Amino acid sequence: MSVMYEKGQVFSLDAVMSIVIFMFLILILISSWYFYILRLDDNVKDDDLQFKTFQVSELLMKKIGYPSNWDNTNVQILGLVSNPRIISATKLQEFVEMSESDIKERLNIENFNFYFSLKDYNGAMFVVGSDFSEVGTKPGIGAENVFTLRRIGIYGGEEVVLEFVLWK
Amino acid sequence: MEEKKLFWSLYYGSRKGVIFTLDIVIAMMILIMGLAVSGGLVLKSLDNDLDFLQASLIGSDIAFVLEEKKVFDGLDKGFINNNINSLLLDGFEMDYRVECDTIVMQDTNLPNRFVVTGERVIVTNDLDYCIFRYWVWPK
Repeated sequence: MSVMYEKGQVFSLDAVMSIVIFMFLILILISSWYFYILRLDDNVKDDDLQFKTFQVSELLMKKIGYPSNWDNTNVQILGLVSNPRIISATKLQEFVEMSESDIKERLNIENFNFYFSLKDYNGAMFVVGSDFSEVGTKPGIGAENVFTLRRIGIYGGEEVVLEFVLWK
Repeated sequence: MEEKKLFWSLYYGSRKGVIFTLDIVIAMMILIMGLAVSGGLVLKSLDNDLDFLQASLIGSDIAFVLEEKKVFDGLDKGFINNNINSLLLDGFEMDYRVECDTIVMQDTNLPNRFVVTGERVIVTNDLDYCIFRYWVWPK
């Protein structure tokens, strides 16, 4: 019996296939991990913006501010009401007369944009002093994260809707 | 040693073999399903819940305004309903239940999904203490 000794090269198809499958799975794992990280990061930013929107709406609708009879020259803490959810005409006027940057600074939202309005149930704004009952900038077309909260309160004995929009 | 080399050179026809076992296929399927399910759960948990925060605020604001306007004084269901409907913001619905010592009044037709609920203690014209329970949800 003669035995032939042939030289061979180890390069089997199953090894190639296993490497391809392994690389494919690693690719899926890395891409899904990256995708989740991006979504979580966006979510953390959204949560921050959402929480600030809530805090500001609570502050404006439920706090009298500091000092209690504040005006736009001495205000330290903003608050639009005389009693919770009952909006004070004097404070509303002082508020809409403040500059946008002053309001941002007082509300600690310097990194964001905001829009505030107070309307009756027909959608009409009030005239306070020489201004309408709105302040800030409405979100434009390119605005990325826009969070709006509407609150119901009483102004001049009438039910009103306060809208506060925080956006980037 | 010679025998071992004999085994190396064994040649079974001209066909090459591919190892593709069922356990690998099952393992891959489980991995991919696991990734899909966990991804779905993560994305679902990230859903925007501002609507429910807004619903919660609407409920508490309306309860306050109704009491401030003395809507509960007569405990008139039609009057309460009209006032709630006029105050409710677009895109939301609200049901309620008023529980007093002797009177229970309700207008509940809750949907079969997550709703925001809250309650407020109110005082009627006759100085009865009642509980105003409300449910609010986005349409």
